[in-house]
Amino acid sequence: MKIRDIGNTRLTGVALIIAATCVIELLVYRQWLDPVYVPPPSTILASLAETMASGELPNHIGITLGRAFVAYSIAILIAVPFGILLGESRIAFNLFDPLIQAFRPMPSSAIIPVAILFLGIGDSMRLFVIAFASVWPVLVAATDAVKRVDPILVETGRMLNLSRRQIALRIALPSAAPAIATGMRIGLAIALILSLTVEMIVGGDGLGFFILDAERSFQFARMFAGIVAIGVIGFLANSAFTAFDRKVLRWHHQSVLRDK
Amino acid sequence: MSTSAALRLSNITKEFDGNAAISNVDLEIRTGELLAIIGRSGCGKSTLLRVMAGLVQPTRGVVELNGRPIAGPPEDLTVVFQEYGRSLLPWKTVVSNVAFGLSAARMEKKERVDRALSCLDAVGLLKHADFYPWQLSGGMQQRVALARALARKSSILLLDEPFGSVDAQSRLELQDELLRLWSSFGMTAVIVTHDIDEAIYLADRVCVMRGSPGVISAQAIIGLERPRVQVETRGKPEFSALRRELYESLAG
Repeated sequence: MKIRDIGNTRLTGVALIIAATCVIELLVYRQWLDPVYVPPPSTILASLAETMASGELPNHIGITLGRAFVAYSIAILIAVPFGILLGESRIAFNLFDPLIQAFRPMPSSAIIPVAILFLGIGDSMRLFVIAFASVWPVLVAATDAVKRVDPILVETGRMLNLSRRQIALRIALPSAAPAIATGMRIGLAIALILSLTVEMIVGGDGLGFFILDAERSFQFARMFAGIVAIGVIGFLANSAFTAFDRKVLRWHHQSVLRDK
Repeated sequence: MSTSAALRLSNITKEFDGNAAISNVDLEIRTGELLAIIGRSGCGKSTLLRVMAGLVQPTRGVVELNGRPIAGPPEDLTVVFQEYGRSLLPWKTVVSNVAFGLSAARMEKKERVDRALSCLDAVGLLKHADFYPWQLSGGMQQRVALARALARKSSILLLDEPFGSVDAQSRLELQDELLRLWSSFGMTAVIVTHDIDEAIYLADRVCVMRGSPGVISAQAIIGLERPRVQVETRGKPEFSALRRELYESLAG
């Protein structure tokens, strides 16, 4: 591989992370950063290894991911069909859109007190808050994508004597799929963020709780270890989603590539 | 009985937001006929075709298919759109796209695929059955659309500037392909085009649409003998005379 080819790979991104880590290590070592508040990366990694090995961190991570996943699935099961309905039916759109636009910009953390009031501090409240937050990007993407389905394709469906339902499921849904996938990717990140946020506010268990608890007991290496874990999870979640997207929507990526 | 009309349009007017796109069009298409409608862009010829297809509801007037008024797209009719790339489903292979034309029919999946394959064979695309539409040239994509029409065994084929956006060579080949399919399957066909030569070469009769709102202002019977052969037919004196006549009808 030539030097210039390396720039085309993801290796440069990894190299940047390693370089930044080394710089921080050096800054802390020379005491330009206060080692009490910023433990050196080597200490953070050691803490990460220790909490991983003891099973403590994996346990919290599992709880956080489990909640995020369940709530995210609920959000998708609601947002995709409902979004298709809103995109297909002008009546449904006119009826619900003002309500959606009123709810959508609400900061999801502002929903937490209301959710606690009605649902208590158990799992159902947490799932509700996470699902509430991640439903919007998927819903808006699905509605918009279905509205933008090529009218020629819809005419083709009508000409082939498909019913309205068949046009929605066999033409509108697949052609909206790439845009819906983009909304789902944003929703996934939001689900993870809210899963952590709820844990930080309500406590109990999960990675968010782990981080906040470490901070409150002045175990900053543990706190940063938790934050590093979040970064790794985010990266892996996005990679998994991208792989899924490339596989399922192969036709889209290849046809777009060809048009360029 | 004078009901050899496959399609009959009576007094058709179509308005969009109060503006008439076509006005009081009367037109009969005889069974087995190949009719061409020519006109400038924006004269309402595509609207007229969509009204015939049941895709656009006329503001006034009636469309009858084999003597019965139509309320929506009839099963016995297939449209080939100009925008071939947008009328095929990019997530389906060529053979699935052709079989998709039979979605509304009560058929076994295997039967659908078999028929799709035989229709692809008829347009010379059997080898490309497992390709995706976007892997094919424009002319080949339009052949897929033709195969989809064949698979439906429609007796009426409506073509909206079908060869308008393919290269000149493919265009001539597709014209001959259309003539071959039309005559061997005994279809009734209506083709909308802005190409006078294409209209003369293909059709039994050419209608001229003009104005805004569009009306049918003239027509010409094309008596050129069949089968038609590109260079030979186009070189005939009658061809030139028809071209002049139609050009004057369009321009004058």
